[in-house]
Amino acid sequence: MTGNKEVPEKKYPPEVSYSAVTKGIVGTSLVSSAFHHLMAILLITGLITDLFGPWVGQWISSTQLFAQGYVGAQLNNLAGVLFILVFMIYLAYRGIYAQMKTAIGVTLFVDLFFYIAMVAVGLFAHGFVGALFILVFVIYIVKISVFNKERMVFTVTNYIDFLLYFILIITGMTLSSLSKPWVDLFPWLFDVLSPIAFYGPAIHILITYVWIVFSAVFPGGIIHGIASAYLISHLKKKSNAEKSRMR
Amino acid sequence: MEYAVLVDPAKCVGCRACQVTCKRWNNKPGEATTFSNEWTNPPKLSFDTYTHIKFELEHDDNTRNTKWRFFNWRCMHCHDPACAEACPVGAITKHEEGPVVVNSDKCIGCKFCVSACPFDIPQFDAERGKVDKCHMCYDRVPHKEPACVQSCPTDALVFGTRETILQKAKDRKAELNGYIYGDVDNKPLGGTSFIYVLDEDPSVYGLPEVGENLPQTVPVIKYSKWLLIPAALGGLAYLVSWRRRRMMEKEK
Repeated sequence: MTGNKEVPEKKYPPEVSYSAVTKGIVGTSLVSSAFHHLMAILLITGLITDLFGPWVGQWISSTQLFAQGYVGAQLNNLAGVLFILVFMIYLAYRGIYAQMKTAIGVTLFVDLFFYIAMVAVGLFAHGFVGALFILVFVIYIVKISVFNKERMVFTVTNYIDFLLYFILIITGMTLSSLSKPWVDLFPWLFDVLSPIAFYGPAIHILITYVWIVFSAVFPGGIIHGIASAYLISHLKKKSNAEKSRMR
Repeated sequence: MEYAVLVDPAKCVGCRACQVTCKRWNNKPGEATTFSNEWTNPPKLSFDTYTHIKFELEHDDNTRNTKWRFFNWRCMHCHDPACAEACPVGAITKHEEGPVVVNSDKCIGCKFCVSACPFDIPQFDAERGKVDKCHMCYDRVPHKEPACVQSCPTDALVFGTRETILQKAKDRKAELNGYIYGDVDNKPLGGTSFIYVLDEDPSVYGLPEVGENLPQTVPVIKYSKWLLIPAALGGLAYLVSWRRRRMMEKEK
């Protein structure tokens, strides 16, 4: 008898559900997962604010005030930190979970529960989620520049996306710098960003919608995050299967 | 009925009574100040300082003449306020009587109004996460004049109906052989509820040249959401073609 293992046949087309993709993406790359989740939260919270502002504004504002009553003036910082903690625990949990074979329904429920909670916090901490996103963005860029595995699935759409993200980041930082947080940390930012302060919000909003149009219209755009995440996890599974066949 | 305030810097003696009264009426705290070359404290508007008196010293080296310019500065209460248009949550409203008021219960501290205002008026407070500015004592108008006007000892600030104030501005302009700022050809922004009558060109006082219409950034903020329509159509077309391709692959 040889030591060959039975490799189950892959289903094609593969199953694409939020839960399956999250499992794959977290198992494959934590940074990529953080990047895509933060981006999604920023997009959702930004869109909710812009489209439903007159209705949700009061709620966002009163949530801020309610939390301020308990934690004082540093609400936004605390909410940001809380968000990071919850998010990191969630990611770690998902990373372990991804190794387990559990019913998809349960994981989907857990995913959605955490996602709704994150969006709720993100609504009044959009700026701080954005600040975290910038850090993850930098790590992500460095990572994809170093590791060929992720770079190889990149398309022109992805590169243009990154350019648009870059503009969103600069204008987002400009908006933050109109007050204190960024300028307190990096005083030279004021001189660099103040010339575009007047145009900051307009560019930020316009580029968000341009990005949505771009993502929706161009092939590989509308579900590019899910598609590339799936592709990465699929490639990983494929290479694992080939490795075990070689043994 | 719309009301307005006439600001006459030539009559201002820089006593800052308006500044103090404003703080008292609005229950605003004093601010820790330091020496600066602004000649006055606090040096500029802030979340807790709605009204500020600018001090400017003009010195002619040839004649050795020195002239002080004292100048009341706060929200202009525009007819078409750019801040209100830019606010995504509708927290800023223009009242029928003239005041432009920030509702802090609704403000989410996004600072879009700070960017949109051509006069650099709305002030953000990072600790509270809110924006605030002069509200022209909307809780007093029209039964009583704004607190700053009531406290002015030299009538450098005068309150009245818009028509009366415009007439007074014209008369005073003729007297000074000067300029009106706030309602000339509906500039700036459709006219303002604080109208200046100046003995020198507005630029001497550092007043910005603002057009009749809203800044270009405001319509971009307001209308860019319409791009969701092509996005939705494009997304739908993409999904349809993707599904068709998948069906064809299955058939094969």
